[in-house]
Parts: sequence; C-alpha cells; structure tokens
Amino acid sequence: MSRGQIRGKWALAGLGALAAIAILATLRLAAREVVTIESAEFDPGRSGWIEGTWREGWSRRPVWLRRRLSASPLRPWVTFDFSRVRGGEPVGSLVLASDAALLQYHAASRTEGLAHGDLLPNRLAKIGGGEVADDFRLALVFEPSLPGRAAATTFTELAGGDAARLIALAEVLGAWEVLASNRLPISDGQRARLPFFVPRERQDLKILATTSIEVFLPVPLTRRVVTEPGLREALYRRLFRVAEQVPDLAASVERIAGSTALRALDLDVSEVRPRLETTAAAIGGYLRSVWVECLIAVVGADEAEIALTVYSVVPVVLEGFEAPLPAEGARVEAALGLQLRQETAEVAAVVKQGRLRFATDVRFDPVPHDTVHFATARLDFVLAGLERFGEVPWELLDALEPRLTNLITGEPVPAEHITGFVSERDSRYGRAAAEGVEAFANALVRRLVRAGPGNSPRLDRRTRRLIVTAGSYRVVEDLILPPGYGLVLEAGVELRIHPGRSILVRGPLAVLGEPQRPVSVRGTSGEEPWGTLAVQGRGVSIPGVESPRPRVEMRHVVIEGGAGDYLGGVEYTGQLSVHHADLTLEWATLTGARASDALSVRHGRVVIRDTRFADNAADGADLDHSEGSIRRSLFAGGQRGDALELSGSDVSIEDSIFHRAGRRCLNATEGATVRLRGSLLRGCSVGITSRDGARVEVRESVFHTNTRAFAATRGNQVFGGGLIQAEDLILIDTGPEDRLDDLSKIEVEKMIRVGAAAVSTVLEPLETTDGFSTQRYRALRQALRHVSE
Amino acid sequence: MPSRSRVLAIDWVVVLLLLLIVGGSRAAELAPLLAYRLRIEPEPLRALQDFRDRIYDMNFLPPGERLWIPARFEHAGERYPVRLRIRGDLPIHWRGEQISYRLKFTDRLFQGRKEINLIIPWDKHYGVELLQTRVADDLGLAYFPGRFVSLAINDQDVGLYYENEHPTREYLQRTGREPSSIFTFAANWTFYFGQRYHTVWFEKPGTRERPPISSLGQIKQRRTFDRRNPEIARRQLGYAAEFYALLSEGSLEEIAARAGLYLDLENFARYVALQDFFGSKHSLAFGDNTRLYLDPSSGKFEFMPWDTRLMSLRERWEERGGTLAALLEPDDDMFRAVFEAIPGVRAARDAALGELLREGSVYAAELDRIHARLVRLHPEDERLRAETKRLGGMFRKNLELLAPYAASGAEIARKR
Repeated sequence: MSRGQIRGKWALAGLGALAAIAILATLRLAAREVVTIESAEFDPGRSGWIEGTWREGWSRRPVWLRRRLSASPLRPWVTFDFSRVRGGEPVGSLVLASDAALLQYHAASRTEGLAHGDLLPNRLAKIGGGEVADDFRLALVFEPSLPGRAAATTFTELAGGDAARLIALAEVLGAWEVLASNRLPISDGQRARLPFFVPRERQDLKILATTSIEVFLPVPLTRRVVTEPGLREALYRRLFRVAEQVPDLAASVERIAGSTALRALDLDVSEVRPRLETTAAAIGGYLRSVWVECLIAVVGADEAEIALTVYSVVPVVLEGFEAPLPAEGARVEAALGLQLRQETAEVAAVVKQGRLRFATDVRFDPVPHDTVHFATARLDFVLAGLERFGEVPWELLDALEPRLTNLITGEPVPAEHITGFVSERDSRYGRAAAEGVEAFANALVRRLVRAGPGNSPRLDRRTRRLIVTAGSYRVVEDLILPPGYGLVLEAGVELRIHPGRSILVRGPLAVLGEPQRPVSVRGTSGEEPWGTLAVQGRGVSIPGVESPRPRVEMRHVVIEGGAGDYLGGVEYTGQLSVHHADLTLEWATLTGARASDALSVRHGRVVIRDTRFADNAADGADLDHSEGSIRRSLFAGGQRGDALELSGSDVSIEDSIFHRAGRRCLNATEGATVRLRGSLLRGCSVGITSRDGARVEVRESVFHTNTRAFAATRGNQVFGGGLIQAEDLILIDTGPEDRLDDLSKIEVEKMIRVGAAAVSTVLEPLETTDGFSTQRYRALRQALRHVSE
Repeated sequence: MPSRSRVLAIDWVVVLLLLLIVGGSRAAELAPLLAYRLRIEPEPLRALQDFRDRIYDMNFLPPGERLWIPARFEHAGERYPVRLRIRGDLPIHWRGEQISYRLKFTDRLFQGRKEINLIIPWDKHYGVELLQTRVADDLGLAYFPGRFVSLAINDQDVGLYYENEHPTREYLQRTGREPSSIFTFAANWTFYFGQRYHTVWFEKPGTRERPPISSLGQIKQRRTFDRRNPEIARRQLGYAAEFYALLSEGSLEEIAARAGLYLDLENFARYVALQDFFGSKHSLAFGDNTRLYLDPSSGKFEFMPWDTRLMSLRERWEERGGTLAALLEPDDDMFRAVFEAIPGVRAARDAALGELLREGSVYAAELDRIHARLVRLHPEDERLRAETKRLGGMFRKNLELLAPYAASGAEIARKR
C-alpha cells in the first residue's frame, strides 16, 4: 500500500469519526432541546464551589463564551495564518490555514460546501472567524487546528457548562495577542498563477479580537425564563453569586491555564487575574445596574401621564412616587387630593416625613430583547386631580420622583440612575388636537377672527365639522384641520386670508353658497397673495381602516388671488387644490390666481359644471391622474399657461369654452384620455395638444383664431406619442400647420376651414349640407353659438 | 348522448392542451436568459480596471470616487450608448471574478428604463430578490422590476447577473407615479467607515432653525424629483428630516399622533410583513437599503422593497426565547416605536404576513422554479447549485417556523 493510499485511508477514517461525532452531537443537541428543566434546578443552593469545583445544576451550556477573531482583508489573499504573538513576534500557530492554497475566495467557499453570505459553521466553538464588516468570511478557508491536537476537541472540552470556568477562560483567551498574516512565501509556480491583485509580499492583517460572555440559554429554558419571573429571578441570583466569587474564579485561571488542553499553548496568565476581577465586578455591577426613565406629560388640564421605563436585566419594584410638599397650605391640601392610577389600582396621596407620597407595590419584569443582557419594562400611570390647583402644578411635577428597589440585590435604585423629565408643556396642544377636546376647538377658532358681530365658528364634535356661519372672517394663521375633520362654509361667508396663509382641510369640505349669497375666499391684501384652500384626502392612514374619500362640494363660490402653498410635504399648486378627494364644483368662479393653477386636482374625481376660470396668471385648471366630467364651463389661461391641462387623467368635456391661453387651450399629456364635444377653442397658441401617450377625441367643436389647431408629439421617452382623433370640426381663422412627430398621429374627418369673415354665415350652409345636418350637430351648433358670445 | 368517437376526440383535445401547457411552461424554463453585450473601448476599460485596483485599497467605494466610462450596450440587435460604472459600496460587488455594474442609457431608454443595475447574483441571494418582487406585487407594494440575464463584455462571457431597474424619474413615471424624491438613510455607514457619506445639511422650511436631529447621520435624496422645481426638492428633504426626527426622537404619544401624517401606515405594515416573510433584517431599518418614496400629492412616505435577504429564522428564534412574537419584534428602534405607538400597525403586519404564509407553499415552489431554471441553464456552476439548494431549504424552514402565523394572521385579517 502506497503512502498516499495509507494517507487516504486515515483521512477516510478521520472523516468517518468526524461524521460520527457530528451525528452524536446533533442527537445530543436534539435531546437537549426537549429536556424539561425543573425549577428546583434553579435553586441557588445547588450551585457553588465544592471541593474546588463550581457545581452547576441547570445546564451544560448556561453561558456562552465568544471569542471572535475577525480579519478584514482588502482583497483576496493566498491563505492566512493566525498566530499567537509575544513581544511582537509570532510564537506559534494558533489556527493554521487550510491546504486550500491559491484558491480565491469563491473557490475556497466551494471546497467547504458553503457560499457567500453563510454564517461560519464555527467548528472551533470558541475561536473562529467572526462576522466581518464586508462579509468576507476568512474562516471559510481555515481548517483550524492546534499543534498536535484537534482544536474542536480541545475547546469543546473547555467550554462545558461550567460558568465559572467560562468566565475565567474568557480572560485567558483575552490574554492572547493574535496576528494574522498571509501565508508567504509560496513557490514560484504558485506565485505565477496568482491574480495580479493578490499581494505577493508578506502582509499582516488587522485583527479584531473580542471576548464576550453572553447569557445564551437553551431555548426551552429561555422560554421559561421569559415567561416565569420566578425562574428568571433565581437565575439572576445565581449569576450574581458567580460574580461574587472572584477569588475562586481567579484561582481557577491557573487551573485552566495548566489544563491538559491549554498546556501546549504555553500561556502567560500573569495578567489575567487583575482583569478577571474587573470582569467579575462588571458582571456583579451589571446586575446592580438599573436605569429608569420617567416621563411626565400633562394632558388636558386635569391629568398627567407618567411613563416609567426600566432598563435592567433584573426585576424591580416600584415602591411609589414622592415629591417635596408644596409650600402653601392651600396647595398642600390640593396635593393631597391627587390620585395615582395604574390600570385598576388607584392610590391616594399621603404626607409622610414632610414629603408627599404615593405608596405602590408594582413590579417591573423587564422583557429581554435579544439575550437577557438587554431588557426593558414600561408601565404607565395617570396622576389625576390636577384641576384642584387651578393651574398645572409644574413645580410639583418637576420634583416627582419614583422610588425603586432592585429585587436581586435588595438595594434601592440610586437616584443618579433615574432620569426624568416633564415633557414639553405645549404637548397639551398636540394631545388635545388629536382628541378634539375643547382646547383644540379654541385653538382652531382663534385662527378665524370674526370681523363683525355674529356667531363664532363652532366645532361640532359629533360630526367633526368646523362650521362657519354667514359673516366676514379673517384667517390670520394657517388653518390646518386635523385628519378627519371637515370644514363647512355656509352661504354668505366671506373669508379673507392674510398674505401667505392657507387653509388645509384633511376631511370633507362643503361650501354652500347660494345665488344671492355666494361664498367668497379672497386675500386681505390686494398686492400680496394668500396661499391655498386645499383639501387633502389622504390626511392620515389608519391600518385596516378604509377611510372614505372626502367629498368636496362647492357651489356659488368665488375664489380669488391665491398663490398656492407648500404644506405637510405637499406642494399645492392651485389656489384651490383638491388631492385624493371627490370634487363637485358648480356655479363657481376662480379668478385672479397667482398660483400655477387656479384649480389643481390630483388623484381626484371631478364634476365641474357652470364654472368659470378667468384672468389667472398661468393654467386655468390642472387635473392630474384624475377622472370625471366637465360641462358648460369656461376656461381661460394666462399668458404663461394652458386653459386646461390634463395629465394622466380620463375626462369627458362637453359644451365648454376654452380661450385666450398663451399656450394651449387644451393640453393632454402622460397617457391622458380626453373626450371633447360641442366646445369652442379660441384664441390660443395651440387648440389641442396631445403629448406623451395622451389620446384626445374631439367631435363637433369649433376652433377659432388659434395659431394652429393641433400638436401631437412625444417629449418624454417613457411614454409613446400623442394621438388626436377629430371629427366634424369647423376651423375658423386657425392656422393650417399642425405639429406632429413620427411617433404621433392626427386623424381628422369632416373638417371645414373658413375665414373669420365667414363666421356669421357658417351656420346656414352647415344645415343644408349632407355632412352637417340638424339633429346630429346640435353640439356643434352650440359651439358655434359660443363664438358670438 | 355523445358518440364514443366524439368523447375520444375531446379526450385528445384535453391531452393536447395539457401537453401544450406543460410543454409551454417547460419551454419557458429552458429558454435562455436575455443576453446582454457590453462593448468597452480599451482605454476606458483600462481606466475601469485601474479604478477597481484603487478601490481595493480603500475597501469601500465612496460616492465621490465613482468613475463613469462610456460603453455600448447591445441587446436583440439594438445598440444603445451607455455610461457605465462599478456599482456597490462594499467590496463584495467588485473584488471577485464578477463585478456589479450600473448602466445609464444616455441616448434613448432601454425598454423604458433609464438606468439598470447588473448585480452579481449571490448578492441578491439568487432567486430571492426576484421572488421578493412578486411578493411585493401581491402586497401592492412598489418594487423595482428584476430578471436574470447573461452578460458578455467585449465578447467574453462574464456570467449570470441579476438585473434590476434603478430608481429614476423614468421608473416612477413608467409605473404611474409622480416624480418625487426617494430617500435613503446612511447613518450606520458613517459610523462604520468613519467617513462622510451623502452628507446633507438642511433647515426647517421657512426658518433658519435646524431640526433637532442629533441621531441623524445622513439622508440621501435621490434625484428622482421634478428638477424643474428645486425649491420643492429642498423642502422635501427638510420634510424627510422632520419625519426622521419624529421617529427617532419623538415620544410615543407624538409618534402616535403624527406618524400617520407622514407615513402610509398600511404600506409600512405590508413592507414589514414582506421582510418578515423572508426573515430579512437587512432592510428593516432606516439605512442604506431604505427606498422611501415621498408621494408628492399626499405627503406620505412609502417603502419600496430593496435588497431583501433571506435569513434563517431558526437561530434568531432560539435567541429570542422561541416565541414568534419576540422573533417578529422589529429590531430597529424607529420601526419598533411605530409598532408600539400605533397598535393597528402590528395587526396590519400580522394580517399581511398571514396572507403570505397561507400562500407559502406557492411561493416556495416559485423560488424552486426560478432556481431550477438557473441551475438548468448553468449546470457547470457548482456554487449556484449549492447555494440555491441552501436558500430553497432555508426558505421552507422559515415557512415552517412561521406557520402558526398563517392561522393567527387569518384571524386578524378577518377581524379587520
């Protein structure tokens, strides 16, 4: 048998043994998972130093020791050595690189049957490559070993369920100074095959070495510890006692260093003992550390909420709150009327030793987050009866302190571990606004200043409406209604809004003008514009609650002189802006807007009838991603705008007039679908533009004195070209040149072009020709009648 | 009564239809991936290689160091001029044999896309990210469309890539959204690398006052907003800062009262459900994997899933005491604050997660199908085979662990 064959057989035998060990370990682990741990096993009396050995009764793995060695190479290296270092010089390999020399990272990963992103198998349970910053897991290329010994065996042996020994071992491991370097020199042949970016000289890697002890309990035990406070308490008590055993722990360091497993490492443990004392003290201190945060917030005028949060791993008892007695007799009497409530319990204030006290016996059991290292508990209390003071007794609240006791040590929680503050005093408003209490109503009404005699605006709490009755009002500050609250402007209301101020309604809006008593919304200054009257339908989202889209019903209203505003992360580009709501606008006039749009609707449904948009600076109306219908309305745009802009919307328009826009009478973009009938488009640069996937059907309409009738183009590659399908049109004094690109299309059927002089005679020939007979072209004749209006 | 011959004929039709269906799906599985070709001239290619060598030494690709080179992209007989750069801040994207790229189409859009990423597939956990887009679609969340492609550079095959669309204005428009800011947060990166990253200064709109954001690292505002209105973009940044400040420093009462004004809470709950479904903690924080779209018409932020990682829930479950409730408690303080302040969010998450889990076997089969196709197309890739097997197994194990939520989630959904 050749040497190679013998080596192979040994390797096979080794693999078999490893597999057997792995199977046994798995079975053992599985068995451990279902072990029921009796509460008796938490009896601290069963743990302790007996004949020089710490006896544990509760798990073979109660405390987890982690020694992480992490290296962050900048690029693929050949392989790596971890070495122990003394005086800056390597004194022996701690973990040797595998034989996977020259393999790059990915190839090496494959040899291990692992891919990038895996956690390390951590075979060397207590020493191994940890998680490094960039996920480059070096340990994948290592076959860890100790000189002459199998490392996994060595450290498993050491890492048994002996908490005391683990603490000591942590310090022993921490005493190692470790170096990692690439495994050079290598042969010339190997070197030649290296990629150009692999270092060819010896280089050291930065090593991050950390040692930590974590209380990682087996799952069944942890579950019970979480759910059964008594068990947790017993566990803490015992850990606490472990930490108290510093001299014994220190003594065990020598024993560990001299153990069979570590003797080969030739450890110098002289520095370990002082560090061990620090560690033990830290553990003990940890169990003593209880941090408490006390937040007191006044809500309304008669109650304070107290939120007490405990950061601790140990249970704590709140014995009560106390504060110095208020100075004056009447205030002392008032203070004695205070009551502390916690769920069903209620405690009255008493005076004891010159201090005001509330006696409780409330236990805090902090709930661990990840491990039992990090645990918090929070309880809320209400301090009722503040109204007895006539005003909020801030000095009393500022001085109110909790008294707490650590249940493990039995010591009071020191005052310096309690942080507390009384929350911002204006938080009253925030809470009140959310709940719609009187303070909120007053706050809203204050923003609406009545200019003359009459009723003040009132908040109807049942319907959640702020109702403004007939009269003149000034809006002196932004009037922003809370989500769900509506605004009603009754007939005869005149709102005068200060420059730059706006109204934002996050609920329904009803503007109930009448022909003889319209509602008007204007600015207070002729020169400086106000902002916007806006409705936001997505005021607040409540999970699981499908909020109805707010309805906006406006009739007989004049809105003038707004410039738009930016509120709550939203730009409202219209002097009237409606987002995510259903708008019905009738007999309205929107004029003199200094905003981008006199009306802006986004994601809305609209019905517009008998409404006039005139003398506005830019667009008359802008409907984005909306749907609806328009009838008998007049749209005029400014020199810089369109009469009507429709972006991504689906709208039917009938019997309307578009005129005098510096740009387009009707501008459809971004996939809009528009059906236009019986309308007049007059005096614009372009009658209809269809861009970027928009589709416009126009029938029985009249184009009058536009520079050109149509433009169909694509400006944005995301969309396709524009489409215009026109039928039965009369073009009066409108230029013949349409604008069209290769991706767009204009289809026209039955179109008559006439000069301006022929306008008065257009109707008659239409009614006599076959193509334009009476019934069918009622809409067209209506459009023609608009020409003379 | 139909004749026997007619019955037979019907049988044959059924059989043929079945064959067509089975054969069709089989053909789809065997169909080659889309083939992309990149042509890079020698000079820019050399510059790119030098650049890669340089970032090796930095071990990080800082934003200020990015190198764009001209190239030509070819697909299906069409040629597109592009600008190209190495993408990915961390070395995983550029230190191995394959490199992740970002392509920007300079002249005309490619299938409506302005920018795409070609990402090394293991960074996206192979089929997991693709499956994530389908889950996101089912949940009604916005997502960045993805697919697997084969890439060749200068006629040399460089392997399998995961392509996904980069957040751009064009992407927003194509998916029916208005152009607006998408935000990413990067506090943890600064902490880690000790260098500035996407640093932004901002003020509260209309004041000289800086918001009280002591814990805020950086906010990255992607240029997906309407560039015609830079003032609004600036204000949106301030708005994002306000939102961050509320969640990071506000009391639970404040969060309860105001978080719903900023955040689409249903979207948030579904986003968390998606992450929990995959056991992913990678994007469950306000960090560099956050893609937070600001709906400019409502002022609501929406999460867009990005970089979902499949992670084993078992270990985490053990560490957390073996309870599902503890397992699914958000780690991130800000996420947790929303959960604590607004109980309805947790219920919404549970309901959405329950819905996903009831379809768990369908999703698992879908993941297997994606992986099987990749393996079939790349039988030589041992790593692909091993990794996809591992990921598929992990996904199923996670589903088993989460199974009790399917019933409780259904109950919650019913109550809602």
